[in-house]
Amino acid sequence: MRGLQNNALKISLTHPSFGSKSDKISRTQNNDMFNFLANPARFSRLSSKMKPWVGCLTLCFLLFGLWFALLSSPADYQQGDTVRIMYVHVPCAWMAMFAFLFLSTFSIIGLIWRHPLAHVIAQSAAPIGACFTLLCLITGSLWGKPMWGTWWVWDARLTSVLILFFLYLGVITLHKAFDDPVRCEKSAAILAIFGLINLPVIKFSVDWWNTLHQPASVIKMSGPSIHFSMLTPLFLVAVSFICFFFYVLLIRIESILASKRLETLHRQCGRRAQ
Amino acid sequence: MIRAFKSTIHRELILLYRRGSDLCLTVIFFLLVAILFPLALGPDQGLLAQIGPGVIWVSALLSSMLTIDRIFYADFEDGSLEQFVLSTHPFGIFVFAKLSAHWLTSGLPILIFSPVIGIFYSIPLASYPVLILSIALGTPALSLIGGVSAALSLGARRGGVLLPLLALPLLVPVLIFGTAATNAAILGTPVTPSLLLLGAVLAATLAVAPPITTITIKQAIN
Amino acid sequence: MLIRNNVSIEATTSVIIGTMKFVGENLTCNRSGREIFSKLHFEVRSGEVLVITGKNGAGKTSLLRLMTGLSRPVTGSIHWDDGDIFCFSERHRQRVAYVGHTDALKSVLTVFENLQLWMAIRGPSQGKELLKKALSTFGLSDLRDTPVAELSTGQRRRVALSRLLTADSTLWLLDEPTIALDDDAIGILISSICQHRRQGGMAVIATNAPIDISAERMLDLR
Repeated sequence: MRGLQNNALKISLTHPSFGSKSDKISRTQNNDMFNFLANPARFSRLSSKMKPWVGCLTLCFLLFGLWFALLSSPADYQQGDTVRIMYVHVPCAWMAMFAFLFLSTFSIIGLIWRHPLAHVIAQSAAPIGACFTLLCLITGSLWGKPMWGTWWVWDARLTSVLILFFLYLGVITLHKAFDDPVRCEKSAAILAIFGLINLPVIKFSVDWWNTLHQPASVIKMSGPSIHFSMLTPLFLVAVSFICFFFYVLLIRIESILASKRLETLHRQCGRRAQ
Repeated sequence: MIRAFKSTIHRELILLYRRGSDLCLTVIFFLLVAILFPLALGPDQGLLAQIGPGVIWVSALLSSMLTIDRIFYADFEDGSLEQFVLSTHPFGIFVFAKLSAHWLTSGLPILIFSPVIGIFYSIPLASYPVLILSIALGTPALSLIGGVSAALSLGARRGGVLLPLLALPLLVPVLIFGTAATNAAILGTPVTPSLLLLGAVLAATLAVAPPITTITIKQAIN
Repeated sequence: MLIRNNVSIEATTSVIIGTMKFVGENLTCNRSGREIFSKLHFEVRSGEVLVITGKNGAGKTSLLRLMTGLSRPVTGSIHWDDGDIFCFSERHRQRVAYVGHTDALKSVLTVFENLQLWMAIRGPSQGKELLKKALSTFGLSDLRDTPVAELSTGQRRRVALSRLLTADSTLWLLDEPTIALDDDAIGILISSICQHRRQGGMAVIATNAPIDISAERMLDLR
């Protein structure tokens, strides 16, 4: 699913020369504005076709995942039923990191190849990533209370995820901080790239420092140290989260593009009125 | 090129000296923040010795944030930055000179006055070398990372609030390793790992931060 | 570095004697995502003056900033007859002196210090004699040790303009240079431009006020 999604994105990125009928009007008026708008128009059509599919996939994987997670998987011999928090917590954490990687990747694309859509995608991804990070922190806290006896400990993993959350907030704030939209995009992109340093710190914090947080048990060199019956729901929920991420991403991109378009139209109307 | 570097540092120092209050302000703020903690927590010597390194680092961080927005903003406002970019030397030289000047006027005073706070917090004398060394390694990183955030928030609508939001998360590693080194010295555990990590953070920021700051300022002027 | 400097100095001097061309072709400029002008051409040759006029918001300042190389055009190119300004940006910066809306002066420094520091930062220094000459040309000799904070707006403008004479640049880019100047100062400015023109230099002046200079080329942005 993710592959398909990425392919779809690539298609829209590599074929900037398609335009809908409405765009041909602006094309005759102004060639460069056409170049800018045509891409988003193509993207919007594509995404509105894909959105229901992605939404359905999210729902399917989530239902399967939850069924496995809540009913069909065994309770942990030590933790009992509280272990089921893991099926939300761990995918959230993965998504928090994946979203930041995604954000930084598109920031790099936007900065180097100056693709206008890349910045829009990055801008759309940031709040979603921030929400996943917050969810990860909250579910972790809920899990920590029965297991460690405390809502919060200042260990390396928790702290670095908290920093990730603040980095997200910084990127989101920068997207609205300046009067010049180009400046907003570029500043946010630079912070997103600079913040990339934090990702390996999060990943390896449990190995580098002795902490309360358990070390990696799924993604490691010697293969997962977690039983298959728990791994299945974990991955199902993770896949559904990824689909959900792209579902919301598509909605957000469309809305940002629509608002940009509206602004352009306003301007054109204003000019005509003059 | 070295001349341009020197003249820029010279310029920054003269400007700061003429404005007068700024230099004292950093030091006074640094001391004031550190003095607040014993007043709030009570005069328990054991407790103070325990929190001392952390307090010194938090105060250092806050007081260097106090002045970091000024290194580019004044020049941005009056058009000097444009003239810097248009000079025949690479713009990075000026950025690095400005960052160095910021360290000289905020990091160095903090370095000098940190033993005073150490006395307030009855930190054992034997751990002073490590304390000073950690601050010497950490404060340049504060200036460098602060410079990136200052450049990012240059000309922003709410620059004053934005700057700490951007800078403080990035500064956390410096805070953690700096405090860890001094704490280790007080407890008598090995200090080298923390100092090495602090040095690594400094080396990394030294390599990465000035170019990013340069690019960011250039696009801010654009 | 030294060798490179020598080469480029030679290049500029030889160029001032011969004729040069500074050309912009098919320029499109966006500000805040909005297009200001498109398909714009301009050309200036040695010994010529280009006056840019146009309504507020027509893009005079934006065009000048494109010429400085501070911002990049969306389409089109700006180049000298021996190369693009972005490909050979160091050479370009050596040839250009820009006086923008802002004076880029530090109010705590004196007039002389301001110019001196600026010269040191700008590049190959021309010596104090040139600086004194520039000050006397603009009638600032009596003010040389006055802090800029005590100067009037017009006097500051004079200081900013006097920098042109210290820079030894081929191309002067002036953004509304006559604003806040009295008739006396405008006369000095015009005679300096004519002098510069006689020596084979070129000037681009963006202005709304009528300026009493026989410009070879006019550009009206609408």
